[in-house]
Amino acid sequence: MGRNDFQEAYLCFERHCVAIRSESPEVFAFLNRFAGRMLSPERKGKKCGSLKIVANGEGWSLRDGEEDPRQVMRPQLATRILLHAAMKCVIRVRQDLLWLHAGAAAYGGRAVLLCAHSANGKSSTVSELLERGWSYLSDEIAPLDVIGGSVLPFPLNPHKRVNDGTTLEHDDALRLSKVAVDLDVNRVAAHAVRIAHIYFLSWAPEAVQLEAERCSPSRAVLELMANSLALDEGRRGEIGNMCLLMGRVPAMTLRFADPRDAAQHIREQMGAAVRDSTHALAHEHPTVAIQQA
Amino acid sequence: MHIEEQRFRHSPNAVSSEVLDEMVIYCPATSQALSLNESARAIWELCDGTRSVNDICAELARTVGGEPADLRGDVDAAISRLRDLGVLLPASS
Repeated sequence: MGRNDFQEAYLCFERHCVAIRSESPEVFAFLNRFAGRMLSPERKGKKCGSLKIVANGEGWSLRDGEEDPRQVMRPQLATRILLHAAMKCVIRVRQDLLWLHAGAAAYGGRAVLLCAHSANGKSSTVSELLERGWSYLSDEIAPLDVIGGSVLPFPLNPHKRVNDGTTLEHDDALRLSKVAVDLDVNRVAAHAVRIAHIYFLSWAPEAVQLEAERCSPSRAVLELMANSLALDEGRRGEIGNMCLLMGRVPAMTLRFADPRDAAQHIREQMGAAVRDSTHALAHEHPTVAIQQA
Repeated sequence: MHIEEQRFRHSPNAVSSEVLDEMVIYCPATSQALSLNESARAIWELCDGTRSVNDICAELARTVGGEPADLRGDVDAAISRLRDLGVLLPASS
């Protein structure tokens, strides 16, 4: 097959992009389903990686740079592996950021970060917040600017696990299929948003009611480390950054059976934070109030 | 040497970072980390290779009050955890 048979698209993040090549339109259809908001047909910014997917009779195979191709049978799994490979390229060139397995949503110019291992309600809680009018930053991968105390948009298309109402044990959730969450394009945050709270989520089907507990800063750092996507060479540096962040941002653990309860709690906490900041602003800048009067 | 006379020092591989009054210690060799509250952080900082376990108990008692013997259990437990993590070594090693 000749070189010209390949199509190319770019997964873009800030000022970098990863080239993705394939001769199969099906590959791009899958990519679009998972990462449409971050894909561009044109190169934007500096290229930091190059990936190629070849579809053949045995499935798809992924070639990352000069490495030997990896054979993957199922397109959906191959797409996820491709996205993770692309993400690693971006992480490698943006080690100034803290990369977490986390969701993020914003309201009133402030963001919450939702950290959790898979099947603990991260995407479902983000989805509930979106239904309550929040803006979308991410439901799986969150890049943090520690100096600015903010989270940057990484808007892979949100998906959540759905249950038909069957009573589940915790481990059953991993087997639930994920469905796309409807998302208004105007609700995707375009810029970094300052982090107001960090939550460590734990989905517990047996929980009678939501349990919220303050998380000490050092324990929060351990939780962040457990959800870190840092490459091995970035481990040492990230701990200092996590401590810096947790010295400034309050953290809580939330244990719940229903993500709606988690979203409601987060919303109430954010409402209180916004009220507090408005109150503080009024006292910090009394001359502004006098001039306006 | 009796355990109370033993001295410990930080492993040169240990990565420590402050977060408010607390601390996080990371051991790259085992990829494990530990969070230290204010008391555990004080014990870690007193393990400088010159102080014995007895000295550390006495120093803590002066700072927080009480008898050194009453603090011995907490000091032993903290040192044991930090040794298991691989971030604290016998000073003689």
